[in-house]
Amino acid sequence: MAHEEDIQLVRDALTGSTNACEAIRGDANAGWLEAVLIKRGATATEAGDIVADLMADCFGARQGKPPLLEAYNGGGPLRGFLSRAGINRLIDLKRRQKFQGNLPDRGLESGPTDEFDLLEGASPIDTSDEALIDLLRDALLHAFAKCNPRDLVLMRLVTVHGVRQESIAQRFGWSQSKVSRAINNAMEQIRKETMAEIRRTDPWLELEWEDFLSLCRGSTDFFVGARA
Amino acid sequence: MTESETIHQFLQAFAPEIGGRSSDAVGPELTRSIEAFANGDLDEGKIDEVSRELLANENALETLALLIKGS
Repeated sequence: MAHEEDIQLVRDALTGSTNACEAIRGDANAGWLEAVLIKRGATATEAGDIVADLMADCFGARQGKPPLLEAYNGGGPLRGFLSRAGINRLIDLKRRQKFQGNLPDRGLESGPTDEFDLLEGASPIDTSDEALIDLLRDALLHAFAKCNPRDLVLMRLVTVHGVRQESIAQRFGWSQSKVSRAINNAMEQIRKETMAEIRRTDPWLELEWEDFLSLCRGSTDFFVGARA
Repeated sequence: MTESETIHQFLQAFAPEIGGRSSDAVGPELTRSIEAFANGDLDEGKIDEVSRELLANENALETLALLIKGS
């Protein structure tokens, strides 16, 4: 099985092995994870706080939730699992900061409307990748909506339904290079619009297209794999 | 895995309405449009319109895929 060593390490940690716990939360991993978060746009303080909380949640149940490590399914390397959880919390933190910075400035004379209603609810420690998955999905949906529909259909025919480009070309009376260009155009438009949407919604986030794809892959590895 | 495969696999898992699990029935009118699409008989405006319907209905896209594969 893939990542068997990491699975065993997590099992050992969850059953109380001091060495396994130290291997996971030790300086090497924690320092690496802080560096990942700083590279993605966290300040050093934010990265340190997130990693400290994350490592604590790895082993101890909080707010009725099981230890975070229990969610690790071996769908990817343990470091990938930890970095996703860290990025998820960073997104959540930054979005809450943004929200708090945008509270409407209204005087007391503005009536009985309760500003508390405008605040987000408490954000419990989350073992899922909800914020990260929302960010990836929303950016892609935005990009798909902007995409040329015909080119997107051709891309889906080839990618999802296994239709050969030659068959499309033959059917439409096109050259194969015209089919290929249409599909490449769709992919380019998706890339451009996805990154533009992320820059619009989360301008603090340092993310390149390859990082985006990697996070998409990780999502299916860790979550679809977990459900399988 | 290609970029396109990565994206579609992600959407199938986390946005099934886009990723390919919507499965409305394909009515006779849409079937005729799909056949015209496959035969290259649609003008540009109609191609965009039918394409949007195809993207919203995985069964319709599957029908088009089968038509093209069978040619």
